[in-house]
Amino acid sequence: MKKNITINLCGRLFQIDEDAYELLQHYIESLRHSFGKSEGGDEIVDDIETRIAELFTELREQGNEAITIDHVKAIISRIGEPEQLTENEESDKSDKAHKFDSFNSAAQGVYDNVRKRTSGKKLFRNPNDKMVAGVLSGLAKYTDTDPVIWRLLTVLLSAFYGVGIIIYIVLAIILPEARTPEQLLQMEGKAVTPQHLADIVVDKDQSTTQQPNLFRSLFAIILKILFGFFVGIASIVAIILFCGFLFALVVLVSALTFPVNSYMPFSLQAMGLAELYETNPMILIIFVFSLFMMLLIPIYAIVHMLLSLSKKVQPMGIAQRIAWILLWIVALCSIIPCSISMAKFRHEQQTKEYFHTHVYQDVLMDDNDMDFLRHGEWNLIKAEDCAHYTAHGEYFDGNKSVRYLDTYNDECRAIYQVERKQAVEPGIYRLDCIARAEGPGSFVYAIGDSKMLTTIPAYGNRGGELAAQIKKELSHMLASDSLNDVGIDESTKEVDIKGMKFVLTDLHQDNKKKLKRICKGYGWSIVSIDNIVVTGDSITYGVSTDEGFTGHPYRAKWFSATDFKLTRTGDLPHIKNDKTRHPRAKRNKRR
Amino acid sequence: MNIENAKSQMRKGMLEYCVLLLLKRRPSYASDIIQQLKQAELLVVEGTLYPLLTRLKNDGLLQYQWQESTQGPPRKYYALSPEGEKFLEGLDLAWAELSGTINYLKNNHPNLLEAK
Repeated sequence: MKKNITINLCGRLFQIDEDAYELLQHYIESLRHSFGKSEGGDEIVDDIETRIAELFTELREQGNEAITIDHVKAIISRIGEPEQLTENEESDKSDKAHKFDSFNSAAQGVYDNVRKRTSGKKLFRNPNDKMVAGVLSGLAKYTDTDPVIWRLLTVLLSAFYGVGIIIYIVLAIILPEARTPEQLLQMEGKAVTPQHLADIVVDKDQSTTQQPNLFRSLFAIILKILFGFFVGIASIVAIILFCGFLFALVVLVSALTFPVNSYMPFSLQAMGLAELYETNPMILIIFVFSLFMMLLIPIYAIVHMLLSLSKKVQPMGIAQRIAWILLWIVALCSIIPCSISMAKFRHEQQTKEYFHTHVYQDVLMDDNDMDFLRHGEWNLIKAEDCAHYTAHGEYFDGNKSVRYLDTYNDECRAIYQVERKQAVEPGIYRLDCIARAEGPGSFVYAIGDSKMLTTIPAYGNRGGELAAQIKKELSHMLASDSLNDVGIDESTKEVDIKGMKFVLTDLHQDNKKKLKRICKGYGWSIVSIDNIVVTGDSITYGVSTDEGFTGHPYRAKWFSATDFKLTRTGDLPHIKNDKTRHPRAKRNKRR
Repeated sequence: MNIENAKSQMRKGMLEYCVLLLLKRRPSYASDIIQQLKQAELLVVEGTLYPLLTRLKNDGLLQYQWQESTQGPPRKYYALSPEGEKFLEGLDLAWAELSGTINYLKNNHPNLLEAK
């Protein structure tokens, strides 16, 4: 039983089966397509239609109530496929071209060539002879070769880091499967003619039933499982992407609704992008747009694929797939520079913040340097090309955590001067400190009534006067085996060297090694400035490598100083009082 | 090149001449021509005729009239135009020459041809 419809052909009514009608319609369409652009094309097709109407009339006169598909097929083979007709036409034309100058055969030739090319084969996945997705079989059809060659090639290529598998997957994504009879014909490189279509429709049942064998069926089961996995993973990816999209949407909406400078979550301020939004909003707009594209395109692709697997929608064509992929790549290419500039901007913001919290007297430094200087009430007078301002780890007694003033520059260019002011009664003072240097040019100074400088001895980071003196002090301890033998029963010992008291802690038997280490000294020496006359109420003292201040070039990579100690050594001799003005003026000059 | 191919080439060359000859005898519509050509085994697929007729008409060699038909749709009756008759005379001459040559080639010994 077949559905039957009535058609009007050249003013006559005919009863025709639905499938026959479809075939006929396709035939006439393809005729119009192939004659369409040639001279009088419509007239030719109209004439052929008239002929068909005549033949239908004949059929009816022979007692056929309705036109069947077999009738239509017979008529088509009688009148001829569009290809046959145009081929004849072409050779007719080329034969007669020199006889009739009436048409432009060259233009016609170009048109025919184009049509031939476009009506050629198309690359599809072949569903009728597939191992996995039919990619290789489709390639084989396209290149007119044996699929076995392609399969072998893919297996071989897969041995190199799975290149073959990757190419296969990419192709499986890009290439659509030939589903409709038209696509199957295009895949085979056969013209989409009514006859061929009819063949496909008739053959369909036979071609889909493949020879069952053990390997095939086993493979099919594995494939089904893999396919299930694939679908599952694709769904999960789609869901994750969708969540990402929702999250991005929430962020976007909140960024747009909350005022720019509020500290609500996801406001531009909280994300550190408020200033960027004000100065260059285009970057953010492009970023959001590209991000949405990058999320939505795969979601759309996956949903579309899942729907087309369940045959609810037509799968995308190659052009559409490539267009989406290109669009995605465009989004990727635009999101990368946007992200980079956003990251840069945020980094700058953070650096600014860091600067804000890590500047001590207009100089950027780390937390430790800052704490030490602030705690010691040191004033930075000069700080150029200094790698750092304090250091720890080489204190003379080996205590790694003791911090001291220090700077470093590999090219001896560090200009570093720190000082502090101490309120004192008028009198004579002595400044003691311990210091070390890698080379000449670093000075300890003290300014009472006048500027007084003492160079820091350059022993490098080994030995040093302090170590030698301690060694001398402790020689009897070092010589004996037990510290108890030399009368040390406490773990600390105070050593007095040149009036400076050094407390050595944790001294007991087991730590004799420590004593020896102390005596290595790391190059420290005691640096003293004597007879500092103070008639005012304060002394300023510090260290400097500034040639402009010291009058000597600085030629050291580093120097260290710490343990400054001011001692009153005597009263002012009551001679004159007019000296008070003079040194102050001098000091002001320096400033 | 197989014989079928050669035959079809020959037929194609002849088709136009034959159509003109048929139409000189009496004006006809497409199905008439098809029937006669089929009898003469000059036509493989009917569709070939239509582009040919249209082209000859567009070149001014043919003209046509619509005539109502009792059995089917109205028919296009084609006839030779004066130009077409002249053209056919030219083809007649060419054909006479061609068939003369072929007869000559068939009936005479190849050696004679070379000697000539």
